[in-house]
Amino acid sequence: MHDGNERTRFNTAARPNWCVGCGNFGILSGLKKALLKLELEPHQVVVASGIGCSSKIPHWINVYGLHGLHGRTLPVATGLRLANHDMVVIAEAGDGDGYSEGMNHFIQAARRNVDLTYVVHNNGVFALTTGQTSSTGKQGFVSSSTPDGSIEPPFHPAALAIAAGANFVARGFSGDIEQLGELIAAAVEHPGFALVDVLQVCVSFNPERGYKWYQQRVYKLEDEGHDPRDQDRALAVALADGDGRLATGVFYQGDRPPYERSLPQLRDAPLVDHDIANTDVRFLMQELI
Amino acid sequence: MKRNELSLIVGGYAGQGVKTVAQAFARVCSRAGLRVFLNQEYPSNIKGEHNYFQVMVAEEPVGAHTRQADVLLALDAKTVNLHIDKIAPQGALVFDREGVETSPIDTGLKVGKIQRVDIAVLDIPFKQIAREAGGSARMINTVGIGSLQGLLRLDFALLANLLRESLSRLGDEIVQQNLDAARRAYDFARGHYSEKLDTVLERRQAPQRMLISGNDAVALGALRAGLKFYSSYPMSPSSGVLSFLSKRARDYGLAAILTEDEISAAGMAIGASFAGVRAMTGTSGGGFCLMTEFLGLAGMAEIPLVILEGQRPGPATGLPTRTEQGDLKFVLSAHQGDFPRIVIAPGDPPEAFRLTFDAFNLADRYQTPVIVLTDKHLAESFWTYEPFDTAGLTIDRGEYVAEDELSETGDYQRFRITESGVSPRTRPGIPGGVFKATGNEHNEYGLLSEDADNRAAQTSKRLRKTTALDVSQIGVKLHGDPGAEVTLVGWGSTKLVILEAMAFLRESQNLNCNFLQPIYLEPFPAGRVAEVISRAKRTLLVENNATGQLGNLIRQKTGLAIEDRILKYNGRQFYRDELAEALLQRL
Repeated sequence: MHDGNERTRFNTAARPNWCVGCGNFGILSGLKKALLKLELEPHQVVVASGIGCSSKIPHWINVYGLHGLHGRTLPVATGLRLANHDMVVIAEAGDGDGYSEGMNHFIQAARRNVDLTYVVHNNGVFALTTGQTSSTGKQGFVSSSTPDGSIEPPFHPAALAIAAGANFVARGFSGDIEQLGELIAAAVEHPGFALVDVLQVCVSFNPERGYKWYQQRVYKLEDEGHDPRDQDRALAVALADGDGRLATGVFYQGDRPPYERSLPQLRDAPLVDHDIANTDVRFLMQELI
Repeated sequence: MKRNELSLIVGGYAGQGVKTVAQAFARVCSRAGLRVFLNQEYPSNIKGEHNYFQVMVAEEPVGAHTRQADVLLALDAKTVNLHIDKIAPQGALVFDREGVETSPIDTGLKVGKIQRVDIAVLDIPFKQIAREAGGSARMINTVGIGSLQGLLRLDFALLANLLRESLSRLGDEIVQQNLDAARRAYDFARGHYSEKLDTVLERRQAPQRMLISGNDAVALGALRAGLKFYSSYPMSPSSGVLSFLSKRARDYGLAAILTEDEISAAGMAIGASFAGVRAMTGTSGGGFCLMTEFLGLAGMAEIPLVILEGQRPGPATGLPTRTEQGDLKFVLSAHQGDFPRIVIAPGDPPEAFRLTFDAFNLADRYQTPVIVLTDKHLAESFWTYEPFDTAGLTIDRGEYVAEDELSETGDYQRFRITESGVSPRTRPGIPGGVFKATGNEHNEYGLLSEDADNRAAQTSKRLRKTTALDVSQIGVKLHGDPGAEVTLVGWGSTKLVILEAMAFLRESQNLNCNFLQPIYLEPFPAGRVAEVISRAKRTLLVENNATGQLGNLIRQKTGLAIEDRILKYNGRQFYRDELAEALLQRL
């Protein structure tokens, strides 16, 4: 339903109902920026998401959208992509969604390497359920689920992605839309599974880590001469993300061929374009004789 | 002398190749123009535990097994001890008395003293023959089947051809050794025990027939329906469908994906279906437990989804490799909230083929999940059928909105409220068709809506869809004489055993029964079922579960209670004579 305007073609009439100041606005802007940069049309893109504040994002961007189940966006996105590899498939999830409920799918998607872009809105807290500690919440975090402070340390999603075999691992910040747009665009262009972990501000349930808190800590890896081909260094950087400095940019990029390339049945046309009117199974029945 | 009528049990320990012997023998008999039923009983174990297979052979279609066997082929000591009492009088025990093997987990176990004097004990030196043929003791499975063929005097060429076909990939030397072993065993058996057996098998002129399992039939039906995406996590008894489809994925242009779990299996199938291809996932009850959240998403977001649920005895892990019809209640009510679903239960391979094909049309037409409910007995037993007729099968993808219409209006309502409840759909990639689908309640565009009136309208719209599906004819079969004295009621894989028990009662007792087989369990053909049951002189429920789940469903849907129930729930299918006796006792 875009009005033909080049710059606004991904906008929707419906308006997001996120909190004023929510980091999701920045991520939504970054996503649109990336799609514009890649000169994509709305019908060429599908955004699949899970459940949570962040996962409402398909409703507010003018592309095909499937807003599914909590933690399960990656299986859905995988099926979508394999059925129609002409589509740009972007999976969106929050940290509670993707790094708690859906952790197994995350590891397996990194290993499988289907050509998807996985954008995780990582704010360290379950927001839509009114503020419980997530698995990327900091140790000691006081919330309704951890009134005496969280006992468990957070884990490091970028490091885990690298260890699981992901060949594009990046981190952005919801307060730097320009950089985020570049990162998402690079992730979409990367052939294979691509993680963009986004440091996201939650103004309502994690106000301690506001824009200023992040701005004081984030730095760009490319400014320090980081070589994304250096997997050891990437892993070290990905593990060093406590309260000190927070790296952003592309941590690691490799050249492992995507899953789709090993399926000759996808070579001629996407599965969705195959003609199924008269599949002949008579030969198969002969085999059973 | 019996001609072309045989019940055979082949037993041994897992890892010995017992299954290979049984399946090869069944195939040879089928190629001889005979009809075959093969029942497989094996444990959840890779090597060592006892497993046995029963092959029924006849000139007429045979669909069920009997408690007794004419021949027991024992490849290990335990098989002799466990099954010797099943051998029919004048039947035969075939084993290698000197060289009999013992499972590594039964060290020290010996063949007990054979007390029976009413059977022939045919000692064949399997191991020695295998060695003479230049092979290892492992070749005793080939020797076993060669011996069987010799004893039954069935044309050796049939076996030789099968061995060449199935072993060719292992190289000429292996083929030759096996042929030699089979020949020696065949000659030994014919030479030493000529006419010791009361039974012979002879080639018959007959059309070529498949030896086909329910799993094969489901996979064939899905391929014929244009399946492009199958995602599954291995679980007995449905794993066979994944292997069947994986093997053919390249030739048939589909993606067959082994997923990390059943949740992902259902999720990928939903993603693929949303993208516009025909997609299916397959599992058993335990895996279906994990899929139930996605089942509801398919219902809410109106995404076609076909699910194969091959039942096995539960709850939890239950008996992983045995059979039961215990999941009916579960699949009918799985997931929270109200949404339309279709549940169909085939009773034999032709129905499994046809109903799986139909499942895809139904899923597309009503944009909702369709469950094909089988069980281990149907999934993993084999029967002989001529290749299915595929000529009249038509693909129906349901209502799609025309592409030119989309680009003209630019205001597409994916979930438009319609009279039928079905909203014409489109798929990602089509210009002008951009829409959202969601598991949240939504408006006609698929956008989030918590409006009260909209909620009621969308719920009604979804539930309205399947009301157009008239199952009064297609949803139920009445087999036999409509005016029979007794009406048997059952569903799914008990079909063939019920039909054979009926035939037995008619021939031996002059007792006329008919059989009411609901095929659609949801929507349920309540009117027709009520009509048949209320007219019946006597009604008996036959189910392979502990609580009579179909009986309870019938009561819920029609108000009619079937008081007489024959329920078996020890993880095994009814034997036809066991069922016939149980029926006679009640009547």
